[in-house]
Amino acid sequence: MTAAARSDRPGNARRPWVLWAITVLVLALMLLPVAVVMLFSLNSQSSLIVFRNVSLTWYRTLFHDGPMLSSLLISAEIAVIAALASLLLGTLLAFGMQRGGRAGSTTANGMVFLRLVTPETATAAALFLLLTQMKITLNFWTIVAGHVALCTAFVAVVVRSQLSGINRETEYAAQDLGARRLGALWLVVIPQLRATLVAAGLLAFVLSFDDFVTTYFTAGVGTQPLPLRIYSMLRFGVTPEVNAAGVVMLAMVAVVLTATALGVVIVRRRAVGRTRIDR
Amino acid sequence: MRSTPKGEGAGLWTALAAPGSAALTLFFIIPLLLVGVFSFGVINSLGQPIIGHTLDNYRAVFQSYNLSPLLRTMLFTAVSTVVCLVLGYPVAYLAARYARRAGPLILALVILPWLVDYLVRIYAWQSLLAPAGLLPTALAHLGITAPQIVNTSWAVICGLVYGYLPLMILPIYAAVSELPAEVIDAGKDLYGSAPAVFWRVTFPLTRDGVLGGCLLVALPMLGDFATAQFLGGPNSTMIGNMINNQFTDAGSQTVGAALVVALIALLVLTLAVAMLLARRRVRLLAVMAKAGKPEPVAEPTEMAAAL
Repeated sequence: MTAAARSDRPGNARRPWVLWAITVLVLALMLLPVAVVMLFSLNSQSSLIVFRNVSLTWYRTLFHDGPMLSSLLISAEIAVIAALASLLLGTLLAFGMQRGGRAGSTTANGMVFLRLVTPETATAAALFLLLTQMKITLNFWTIVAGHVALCTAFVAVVVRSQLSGINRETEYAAQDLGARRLGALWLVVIPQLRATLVAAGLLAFVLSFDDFVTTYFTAGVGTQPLPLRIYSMLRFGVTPEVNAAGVVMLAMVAVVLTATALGVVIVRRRAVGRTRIDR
Repeated sequence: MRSTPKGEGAGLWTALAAPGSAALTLFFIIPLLLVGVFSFGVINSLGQPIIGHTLDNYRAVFQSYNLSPLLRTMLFTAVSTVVCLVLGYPVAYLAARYARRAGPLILALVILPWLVDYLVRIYAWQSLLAPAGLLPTALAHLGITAPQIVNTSWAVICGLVYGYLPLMILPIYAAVSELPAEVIDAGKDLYGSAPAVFWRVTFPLTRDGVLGGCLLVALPMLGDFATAQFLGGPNSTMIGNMINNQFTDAGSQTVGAALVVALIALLVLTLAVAMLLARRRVRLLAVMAKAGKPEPVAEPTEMAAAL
């Protein structure tokens, strides 16, 4: 419905000021902590109440802190590996859920749904139990395994919902023209899913990068990704360095999001351009 | 050769799904089954959990001093979910029906805090609510003495609401957007007062969105432990904290396993109640699956444009 048609609605004559008031209040409460984190990461003193001068002290401390930087790198490494692996596994799983035989797709759907609704504390503690029973020392790869099991389900759901809307006629046409089934999949279906795959991979990256609970249960002594370092900082006392770390994480996620958004726009434009030339 | 639609060749697609299914089975299903087994297990002389057949772990969970965290988890989750609904519905309704161009912007602002790390957000609330923190100080300037909030159950509820509110707003926004405006206008044409139209038309028609939102908010809250750990006091531990203690501190993994089973039982109970209340069960599942998680990602371009 267009904006013009909406404003014609008789009910809209009265301004819903109560709704606006609640919305403004809720948004203010939602954004207040974010503002506090950003502001006080720039404070020159360690106080969280009095803001003295703008300074980069805490960022300096953060980046001179060798372990902190390595934590950031470990988190990024885990997120990239987990995102790529779960993008592959989740996309394939989505095809099974959407197009597989009855038994197969019911099982896959059931597992993915269960994974989405089960609190992470339960799944992560369970994985911890399995790993210790198998006498596997917790390390970098056990974290990756935990994250892959988490992100695969989300990728599968996102890809599946897009896949269900794709018309299969083009695929059959490709097959009539001599493509094998997997060839048709690669040449016809995957290009239509491109934007969705980018979004799903990104979702997986952000989920893994920010994940605390699963990381907490699957990380060994030697590996400390950023959320775990922040956790131990919080446990052993309040330091404004946490604010700076939070802003750095926010910036990383924001950069990745923006880059991908731009990437999607460019890919779409190109696709449009190409169709025009083809015609 | 042309393959026929539906049915034939399903084997290929099932085969493609195998690696993903295997990963989920290995890292998700098998561990949960193992937890079920070990919840009846015992601790051997070396302090390691071994398979057994005792109910002691469940007895430990349901001992009177352990029962309170269970009940408290249910209470905190219920209260926080209701608060999320009361705060979230108006925001979602406004964004979907009145805000026109501001709608996507409101949603973007709701999702924005999610980009800040979960623990850092809890830390921000900790410093905001602390006795000498920003909020009490600001209130003191206005001549109001703020009550001590940090280390009480109220702080935990605030933290839970803050942490999960966006998950309530997104499905309700979707439900209200799909509601034809004519239906509401018809209610008004029939001389329904605003509250009557809301309770008899709008709310029932968006019920599945509401239930989906409640589930998305309530299920992760049931297992949350960092919020209670950093914002609550000794009298606000939740089941997640107990699981954490049993598994990572000097606890017993078999009691921890029984606690995980109890958490899953709470989850099943919550799901069952929601299913009973839903108008269309299948749709409820779809709502949940779609709004799955923080999805600033679903439409990055739109979000970027809105900001």
